[in-house]
Amino acid sequence: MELKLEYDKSLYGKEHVAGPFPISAEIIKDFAKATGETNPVYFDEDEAKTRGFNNVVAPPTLCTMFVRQVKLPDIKLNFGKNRFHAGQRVSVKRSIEAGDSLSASSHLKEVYPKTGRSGTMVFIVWETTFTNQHGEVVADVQESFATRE
Amino acid sequence: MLESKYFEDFELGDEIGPLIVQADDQQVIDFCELWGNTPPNRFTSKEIAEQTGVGEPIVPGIMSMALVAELFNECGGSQHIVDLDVVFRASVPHNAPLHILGTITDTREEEGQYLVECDILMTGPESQRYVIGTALVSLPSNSNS
Repeated sequence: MELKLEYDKSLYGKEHVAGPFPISAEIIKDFAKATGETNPVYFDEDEAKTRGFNNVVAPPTLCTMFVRQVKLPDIKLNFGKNRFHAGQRVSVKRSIEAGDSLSASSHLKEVYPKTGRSGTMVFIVWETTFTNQHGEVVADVQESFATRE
Repeated sequence: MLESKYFEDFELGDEIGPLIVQADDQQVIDFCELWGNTPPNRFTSKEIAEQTGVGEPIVPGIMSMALVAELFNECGGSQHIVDLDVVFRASVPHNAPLHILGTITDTREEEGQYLVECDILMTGPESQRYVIGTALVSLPSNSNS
């Protein structure tokens, strides 16, 4: 029997914004240290410059930290109780460097069911686009949350 | 200093890694503070983790993703990542060795970029599958050097 999902479909097409998020060399260094990174382009300005950057560059997943700053509404899904972080995708469009300032804009991308050995789950996917101070898109981040029967 | 690698250094079926890392308690606390998810929380406190049904404090998903990205330091640096897509199959524990392995599934030139695509797997000491996914990295070509 096909699962009839009910949720607030009026959320499609609505953008939820947050920021600005200033990117300092210190934030980059702290993120790199907390994740055990040793790549010098995240710590050493001279090394970053020899690799073609203007300043120390941010690790590609750094912007994922800012997604939770976007206040996302409850989609009022009529399925499941426990929700968990099922997956994440980062598409890098251009590098983020110390001195940049990012803005985030999130929207509901899709809601879909999937049935496997452990039963049916429903996935809620939010997409967040990060833009720098020049209006250039630097990354798209998709976050998937799953809920079980 | 990371060794520079070129597109031509990689072929279909080649493995990247394994990289063995771990996230200790203090690293997770530092990460949560930076993230704005101030401890104590289910990622740092056993008591809160038990209340929320995860049992033990776990590594946040986005931190696990950052650990996976480090695999590409073997390809000249994780700054070469164009796309990283991961699925969290199981909770990632603190203080345990995490094996991260990439297997190249495609190499191609596309719109002037030299791309290497691979499957990714993060496993635990007993081969538990914690994170699976795919990555696309853009590397310099030695035909341009």
